[in-house]
Amino acid sequence: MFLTASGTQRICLIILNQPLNKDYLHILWRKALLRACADGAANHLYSSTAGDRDSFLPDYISGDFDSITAEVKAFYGDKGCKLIETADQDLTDFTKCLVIMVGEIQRRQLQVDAIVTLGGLAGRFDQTMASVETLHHALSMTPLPLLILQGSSLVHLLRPGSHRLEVNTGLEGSWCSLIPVGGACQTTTTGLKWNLSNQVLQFGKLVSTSNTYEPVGPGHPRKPVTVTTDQPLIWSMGICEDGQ
Amino acid sequence: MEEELTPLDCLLPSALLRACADGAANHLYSSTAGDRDSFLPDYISGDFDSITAEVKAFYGDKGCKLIETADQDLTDFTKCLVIMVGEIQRRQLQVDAIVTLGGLAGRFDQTMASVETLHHALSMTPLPLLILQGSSLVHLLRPGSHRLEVNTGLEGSWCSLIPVGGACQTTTTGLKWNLSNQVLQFGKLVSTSNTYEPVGPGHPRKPVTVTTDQPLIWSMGICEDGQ
Repeated sequence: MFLTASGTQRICLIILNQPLNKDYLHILWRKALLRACADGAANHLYSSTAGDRDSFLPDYISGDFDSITAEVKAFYGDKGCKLIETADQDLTDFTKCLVIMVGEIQRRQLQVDAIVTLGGLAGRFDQTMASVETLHHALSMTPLPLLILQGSSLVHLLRPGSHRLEVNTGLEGSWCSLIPVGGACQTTTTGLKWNLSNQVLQFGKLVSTSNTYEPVGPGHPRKPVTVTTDQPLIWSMGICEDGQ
Repeated sequence: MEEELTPLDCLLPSALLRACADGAANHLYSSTAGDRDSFLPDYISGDFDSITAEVKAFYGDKGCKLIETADQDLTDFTKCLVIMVGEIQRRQLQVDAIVTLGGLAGRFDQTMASVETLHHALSMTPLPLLILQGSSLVHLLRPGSHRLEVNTGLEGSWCSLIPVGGACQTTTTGLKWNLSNQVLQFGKLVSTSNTYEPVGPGHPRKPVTVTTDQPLIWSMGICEDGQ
């Protein structure tokens, strides 16, 4: 997981146009090799980092620039942040920002473990679903895992095949889920309280929500969760909130 | 046979039956302070792990039915819907739709569980089930043809068709970006940030028609004050 200040992974960070969780922002910003804002996300970054803006300058801001304010655009432009206008109306700001990010990672030959996105799961229902669509497109754009974090939810799309998820950082919340957005998935799991044994997950038949981790004895670490699926399958889990 | 629906008509008339799923009663209780007697649900159902003792006692004393549903395989929403459908039949009510407030925000898995309940509802009742939260409305279209009236004045500017359960062969009219027997499917084509076909000033919007071969989510914006 990517929220431990002392974790080992290197990430690239995309910020989307939604109110920012400052704790996540600070942790993820520090770990990121590249940082980008999708259009109006820059407004949120600007207001969240008042007093220390120079420590939070994105490498680029991309989008059709219909949300970013003139003041914010000028501020970051003057500071040397690249402003990349992407007029394509068939793709969302998120997808376009990801395209640029993938290109930059390749161009600079960066060793990166994952691309992490802040925002994209709240607000308009269609925009939440558009974020999930971007996760699907990402499968053919990059081999890197793409994660979306907002509030206390993390969303990640598992490729067809087998996966091993380490869930022992101490930052995991209590719930987890497997959601077959896009179609039926033949699924087998271990490490969950309610495992699947070569069962079909499909809307209208079976969707695994409000699942949790296999109980372990006191003092014992959680077992990893393994998931095998024949189609892309959403893994979504809770992030521990302060005090839990 | 075409299903006709005016999605936002539900914000206009009054409800024949009203229910809370578990902790929803807490929100109802706090939201209606000063006038609680005008907002007494017919029943509160759920496993009662969210409702506070104070709220439960208040509504119980007022005569609201408290229906404990312990089934852990179904969400509070689904269980509440099962009871609602039963009551509609028992009382032989003439109802046009079942409207749900909430279910689309917070934990991502719970939002998806609400969408799953929409799928289950297709086999539970012929009535349309709508979910409203914030400025979003979500409704699952059955396979077949649909005509959506979008002229109440309460419609926001965006709309969308989202093939959550799998590929949908889709044809539409009345949208700015229509589909012509195209396949909607995650990873290929999902219609988000769509809008209504422009019409001349003073002219009402045309209805939106959607034909689909599989259940397909219709989601639209609800106008917010001042827009």
